[in-house]
Order: sequence, then C-alpha cells, then structure tokens
Amino acid sequence: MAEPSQTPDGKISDEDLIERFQRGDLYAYELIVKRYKDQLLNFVYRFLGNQEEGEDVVQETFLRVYRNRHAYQRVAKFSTWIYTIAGNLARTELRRRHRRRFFSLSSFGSEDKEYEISDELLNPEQHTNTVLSEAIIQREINKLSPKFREVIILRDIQELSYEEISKIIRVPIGTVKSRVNRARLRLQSRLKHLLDKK
Amino acid sequence: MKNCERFTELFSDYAEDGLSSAEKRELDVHLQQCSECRSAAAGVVNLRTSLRQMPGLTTSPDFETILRTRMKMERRPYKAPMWNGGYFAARRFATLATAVAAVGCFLYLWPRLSGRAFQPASPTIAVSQLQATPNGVLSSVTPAKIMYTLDRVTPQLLSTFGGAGRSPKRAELTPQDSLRTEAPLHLPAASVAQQPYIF
Repeated sequence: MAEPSQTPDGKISDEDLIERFQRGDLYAYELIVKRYKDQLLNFVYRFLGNQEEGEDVVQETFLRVYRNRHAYQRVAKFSTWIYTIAGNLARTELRRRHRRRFFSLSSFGSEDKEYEISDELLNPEQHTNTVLSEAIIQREINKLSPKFREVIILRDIQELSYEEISKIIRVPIGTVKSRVNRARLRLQSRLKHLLDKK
Repeated sequence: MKNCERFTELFSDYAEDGLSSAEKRELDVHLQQCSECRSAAAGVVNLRTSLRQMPGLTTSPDFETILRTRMKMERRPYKAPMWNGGYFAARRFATLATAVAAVGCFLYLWPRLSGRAFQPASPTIAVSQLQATPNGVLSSVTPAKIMYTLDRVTPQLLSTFGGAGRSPKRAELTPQDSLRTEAPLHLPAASVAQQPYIF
C-alpha cells in the first residue's frame, strides 16, 4: 500500500477519507479500515454470534467498499453507508446459515451448543462472572429475531443514534424506537435473573 | 393492565432520559404503584448498562494482511480462461455453425451410406437363386431386411403378395397393369423366402 503522506489519522473525517480514496489514495482506505474494522466486527459478531463468520463478513464489507468506492456520495454519512453494507452482508450470511442448517443434518444443533449454558451455571452465585454474563446475554441476543437483534446491537452496543439506525436499516425512526423498546423488554424479561442482581 | 402496556412503551425513553418532564412524572407515579412495572423498568435500565459494558472484540492480527491479499487479487486484471475466451470466443459462432453443419451432414448421409456399406460383397445363396430366376434381381440389402425387386410380376404373384409390397406404385397396380408396365415391385426378403415358387 502507499506510504503515509497525509495528515495523521484522527483529524480527518470519514467522508474526507473516502473522497481521498476515491481519488486513488490507498492510504486513506487503510485508515478507514483501521477505524472501522473493530466496531464492524463487534456489530457483525453480536449479530451472527460467531467471530470467524464475523471476520469474513467484515473482510467482505471492506472489499465491497474498495470495489464500489465510487458509489458513495457525500450526501450520506460514511458510517451509515458502511454499516448498511455490513448489515446486508450479515443478514445474507444468517440466511445462508439457516439454509445450511436446514440441508445439513450433521450440523444440526452444533452451533446452538456454542452458547448452550447449563442450568447449574445459571446459579445466582456465579452470575457475577463477566464472561459468563456476556455469554448469557449473547445467547439471549441470538434468540431475538434478526430485526430486533439488529436494532438493539446498533443502539445499545454500537451506541448509534436512532436517526443513523433508521438510515442503516431503512425504516422510519418511530419503527426503530418501537423495535428497540420491544427488544429491550424481551431481553430484560429473559435475563431477569441476571439483571435483578446488578 | 391496559395502563401498564401504555407505560411499558415509555421504558426505553425512560432508560435513556428521553421522557418529557410530564411523562416522567406520570411514569414515576405509576411505578410507585406497580411493582411489576417498577421491576421491568429497572431491568431495562440495567440491561442497557450491561449491553454498553459488553467487552469489545478486536479483529485477528492477520486481518489486514488477508484483506491486502484479497485486494491485490481484486486489482489483478481479469484473464478469461481459454475455454471461455481467446480463440474460441472469437470464433464461437463459426465453431457452432460448423458443428451444426457436421451433425446435419451426418444425419443426411448416414441412412444412405449405411445401406451401401452393408451390401454384401458377394451374393448369398438366396441372391444366386434370385439371379438364376427370370422374375427378380437383388435390389438392396440393409441390416434390417433384404429387399428384392421383381422386374416382371405375374398376376398370380401379385395376388399372392397382396399388401406385402413396398412399391410406391403398388396401390395403383392391378395384376394386368403390372404385366403391361412391368413396374418393379419391392418385396421384403422374408416374404420372398416364404414363397419359394416365385423363383
């Protein structure tokens, strides 16, 4: 890749970076990758519940940005654009996984086991374990339908604004708020045993 | 209960401090009276805190290396495989036309060539018998059947064979016509063999 020849990272907006990349500056693209790789992975991993698949999706997201860099127009925020790409790819991956699971008897139930937590681990004395709590929360997130899962991850884990979420998933803000509320109520009722102790 | 449903819709905004002061006052009053809603609202607040504290993941160390490799592959000019381009692509139409012509020629010539190909090099016993008779000569021999052409057909012969002949003129012929015109009559070998007195 090109040697850094521009101002240090952190002072340039995403939109400026992508414009520079559109003009052929590969270093700007590298900065975009550095800025977004972890937060996109967190989003996709929480959505799919699998880190390996999550990395594949994030890789593919950056490749799409690379290929379709000229499709981006400054009227939209770059973060919204890249999250939309990642979200679409993650949903596609989820559908593919469902098909695989449907057609493959051997894989049936194998992914469920990843988040299977025995009842004895749900003992209140052990719930303070952060790792365990995270696993339990992740398991319950995975049980939500994709439309609820997506909004609660974007809102409560990625901490995006309702307006950004609305643009990413292309539904009205009111619908986003309603979905977030319903997803939170559903999760809190399932995680009652864990949340009451906090 | 109906009241509770209305208030649960406010829990998200409550957890995010997004309620107006009037809404907040109204909800607070309800929460003081309803232990179930109080517990649920506290649960939503705790859930939000827990989700925000979820540890973040980082990509694997070779993430960018893999991405660069994939990008280099993207930049590499596309080279069409030989079977999908180059010589055959340029002459695809000609190749297809030649193939179609070859198949057409084969289908046209096969029945004709195969008939000749199967003609015996030397006459069989039946043929020699036939050649020895004044009534017929060997017309053609195919794998399926041996055909004889009878040059001169007597009324008796024609009536004997009735519908066995394959001459295009057979339907129009009467025994007398046959004698007059001496039209050739094609007969299957099996029929001829069953009527040895012909020869």
